[in-house]
Amino acid sequence: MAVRRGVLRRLAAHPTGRAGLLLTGALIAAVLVGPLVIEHSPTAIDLARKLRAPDGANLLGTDQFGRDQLARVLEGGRRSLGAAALVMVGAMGISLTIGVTAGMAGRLLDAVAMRVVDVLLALPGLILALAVVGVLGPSFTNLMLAMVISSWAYYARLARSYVLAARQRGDIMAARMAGIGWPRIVAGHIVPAVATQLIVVATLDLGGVIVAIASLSFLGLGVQPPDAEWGAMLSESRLFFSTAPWLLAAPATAILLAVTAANLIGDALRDVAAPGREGTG
Amino acid sequence: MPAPVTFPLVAGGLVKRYGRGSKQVTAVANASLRLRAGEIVGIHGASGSGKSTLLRLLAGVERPTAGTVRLQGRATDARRPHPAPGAAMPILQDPVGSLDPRWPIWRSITEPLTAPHRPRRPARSERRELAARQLATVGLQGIDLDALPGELSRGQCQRVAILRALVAEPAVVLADEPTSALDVSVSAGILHLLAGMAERGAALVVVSHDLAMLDVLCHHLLPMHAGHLGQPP
Amino acid sequence: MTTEPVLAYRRVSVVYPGGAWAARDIDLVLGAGSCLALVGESGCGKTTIARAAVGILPEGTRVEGSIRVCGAEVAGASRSVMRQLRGRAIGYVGQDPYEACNPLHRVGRHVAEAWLAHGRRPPPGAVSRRLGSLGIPSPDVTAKRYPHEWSGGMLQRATIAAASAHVPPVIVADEPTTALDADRADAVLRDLRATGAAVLLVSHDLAAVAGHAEQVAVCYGGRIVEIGPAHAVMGDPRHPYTRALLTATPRLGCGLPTPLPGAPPLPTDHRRRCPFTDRCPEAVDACEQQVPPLVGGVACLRR
Repeated sequence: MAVRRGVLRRLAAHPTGRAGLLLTGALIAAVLVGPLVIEHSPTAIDLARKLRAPDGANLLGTDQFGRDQLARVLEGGRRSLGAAALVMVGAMGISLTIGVTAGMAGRLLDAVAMRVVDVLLALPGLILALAVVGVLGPSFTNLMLAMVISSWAYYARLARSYVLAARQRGDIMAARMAGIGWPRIVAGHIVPAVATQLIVVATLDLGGVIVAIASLSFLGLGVQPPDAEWGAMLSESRLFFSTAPWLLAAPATAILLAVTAANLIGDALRDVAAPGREGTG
Repeated sequence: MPAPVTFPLVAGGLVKRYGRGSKQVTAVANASLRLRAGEIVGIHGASGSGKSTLLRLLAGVERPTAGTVRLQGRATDARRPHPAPGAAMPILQDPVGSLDPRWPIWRSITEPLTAPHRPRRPARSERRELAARQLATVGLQGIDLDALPGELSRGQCQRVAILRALVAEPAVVLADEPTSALDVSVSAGILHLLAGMAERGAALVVVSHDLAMLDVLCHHLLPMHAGHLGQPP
Repeated sequence: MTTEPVLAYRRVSVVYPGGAWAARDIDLVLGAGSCLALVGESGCGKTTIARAAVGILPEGTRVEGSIRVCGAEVAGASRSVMRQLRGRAIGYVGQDPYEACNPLHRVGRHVAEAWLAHGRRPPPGAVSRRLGSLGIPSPDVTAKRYPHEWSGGMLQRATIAAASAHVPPVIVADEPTTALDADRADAVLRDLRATGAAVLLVSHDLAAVAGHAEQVAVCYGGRIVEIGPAHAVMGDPRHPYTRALLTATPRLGCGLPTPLPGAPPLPTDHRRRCPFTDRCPEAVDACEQQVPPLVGGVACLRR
């Protein structure tokens, strides 16, 4: 626990980390609290007020159905960001399990696991996601499932290499010689080290996941109307690009901010994640 | 405590080969040695002589291609590489790398007490207390129990590693270049600690390229070259 | 042979970007062809002092005082001036030859860099000749191999070949033998002397380098605490730190060495006192109140 507390504090002390934490905090607060506070509903249709530019009543304007864009961006944010987080957590969980198993297991199990990983890595992520959604049918849940399936393999391979490196460490040797069993060593020494390293990599990739989810939704494979989601909103704005550019600007800016926040935190985390600091020689 | 044996560490005909066919490399060729309690044996060799591999074979963390290792009278084999848990403990070249970077030092120091073969596993508070009481024995009095290895100097980390070894009450200590990464003024203190372990009854094997260091510390010196361990006197 | 020093430090201090002092009031003089060993333990500032002459200190580090290489001022010199001097007036050999050489380039290319860095091509056969003069067997063939195919000792000889390609009058060698075995270490030090250049040799191992240097300077807490002929410093050390260092060094046939408890002062400690006071067996009150001047080769109030 002490180490995790330390990481947050170190992130806040790091200039990039501070910026990332502030932006992330603002985004999360906005999408969690915003929809409760705003008077407009994201799905309420009001044809009398359709395609209005941003004004006093609708801060980000309205779309072709008269739906308030600010409400849709905030509501959509819950889906986009929530999905990104869930996908990451799911992919991390699976990859950590498989990676640690492969790294600690005998040669046969390791070889089998890595061949499965090889096959999945050979298929381009987006194509794989398309295939999964194609089989299961378009829905937001299936989109998240597809993303998890197409991304765990990469992290599993990383996790396995981290495990192989950790096995060589002196503290592991001392624990073995002291008579500590492998399960305790894996749980106490190896998994925390590998998980931390994976989290740093995952955070740097988070921006890409947000964009990938938006892309799949853009293609119509995610949320179904009338649900709001940033990628789907981008897709809907295509027809009105010249007449109502605010319909494009709102979700695009939201995606930009989210990806920036993730990258800022990821960059800072990479600098800061090593526990303790070595003095100069 | 198990009944003491005459020779806590006996190795016979140890061989370690890597690879196959024409690319095969013999890291250790037919090494044998025998230590009594309180004896310090130094193995002197350049890098690539196989001395570190030999130490790993003695430690049971690598399986020999041929030959036997007996720790406290119990033979190690493929199925049970550590038949006498806690009987041997390591002191390694990279002091900071031999400690878990995420564990506060009290946890690393008392880890051997959590081994399953021990009659009972002490509670966290007990472990912290024990670590606190023992710090002075390795000259670490005043150091924060919750410090992480990255916050300590290399010399301090090596002392933590030595304390961890002492906590296990080993019959044998295997040291691989214990002072090579340390400054001269710091090494001297470590050498005294190692000598102290032997005085308290542990058998030590110290492997190094530093002849002067081995000469002042060890009772006997064995040369190692290209996998061949010299004959004991 | 001229008596003008080829490398001279006058009241040189080095400050890190954060304000910590790495080195203070350093005075060193190196005559043509001679060797001065700058010895001390981790954090004493010896590496910083040496790197100041080559201009490879981290961005933002401030160098006060004067460092002259063959008369040319190096402290605070511009990057273009340093680029001209490096290789031609002053060469550098680092600790890890595998880090110094690009693993994707053949070793011959690394030696050729000595010319390429100045926008010229090496004269035909020059690379092989330099490698051969340093005892590398079959230099034409071995130069075509990659760094990982060379042993550490041989590769360090190759870096010496590169550093001495233009026969610079000064070579700075920063722990050149730390990564090597004892017998290789000796050979590398001999090669360094054989280049004919004046060598500023940085090392943490007093015993290993004293046999190869005419002068030894002992560094502690960013200051020079003792300086003199090698045999004098080693055989009859006067400063309490030098004495403690020697008694802490294991020696064949002697018993366990005497430990030196405590730790050196931090670079952020700005107090004007003898840096060794806290650990000195002969310290008196006066030692806390002023920095002992370096007089007669020793910086100690008790001498």
